[in-house]
Amino acid sequence: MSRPITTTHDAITGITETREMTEEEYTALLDSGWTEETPGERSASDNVEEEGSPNDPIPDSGSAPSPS
Amino acid sequence: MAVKTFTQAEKLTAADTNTYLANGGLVYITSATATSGTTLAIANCFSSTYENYRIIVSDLRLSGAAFVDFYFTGTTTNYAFGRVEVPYNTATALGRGGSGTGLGGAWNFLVGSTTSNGGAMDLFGPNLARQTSFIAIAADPRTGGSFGTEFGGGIQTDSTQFTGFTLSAGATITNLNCTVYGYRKA
Repeated sequence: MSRPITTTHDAITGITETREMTEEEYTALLDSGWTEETPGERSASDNVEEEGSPNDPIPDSGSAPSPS
Repeated sequence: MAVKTFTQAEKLTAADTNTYLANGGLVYITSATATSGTTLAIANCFSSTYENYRIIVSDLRLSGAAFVDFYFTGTTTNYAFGRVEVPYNTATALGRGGSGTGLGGAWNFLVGSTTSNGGAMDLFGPNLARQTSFIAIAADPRTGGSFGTEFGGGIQTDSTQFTGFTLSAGATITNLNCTVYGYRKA
């Protein structure tokens, strides 16, 4: 079975080539967790939970001492 | 010395031009385009010349909707990331996901599809012998549903001095432009 195609570019030489991956490159691709999964939509159940809202009053850290 | 103040009628030499004028704050390093296949790997783009880098992906088009991941070439362990999405159709941020409770094999950079989009990543210290981190922003190219703009960031916990990276797509690449810039040091 043929391996996926990769494009490689070397910033020093400026050479770009497109070729079949080496076995090492293909193993690394698989190890990276590469998937053909389609990014799905998110739902409200994925909401970032916030403690309070930006409009909530900032709670006091403590009450001021009464003048004696 | 990073800056020189020139005086009226001062002669502008080639040396001064190259030192003070030719290199702005963000310095072009290299760029490459993939028009087929699964990955684009750029080698020898990180060095001791810069500490921090900016990576721009533009006109990303794939055969179908898929993630585009980032990993330092040859290293596929000890990555962690998290992303938040703000959908185009609401103002409510949605937790998009991340690497979970454990360290994974790559960072998720952006989503590609058949229509064009792009993204930007700031990379902190990839060529230093310490943990590397990143922040990224990208727009999902799809409309409808809850697709929107995504903000993310993460770390790679090794102390490896990386010199290059690979972008991998979960669908066949139709086009992927990638440009690497370095943030000039003083």
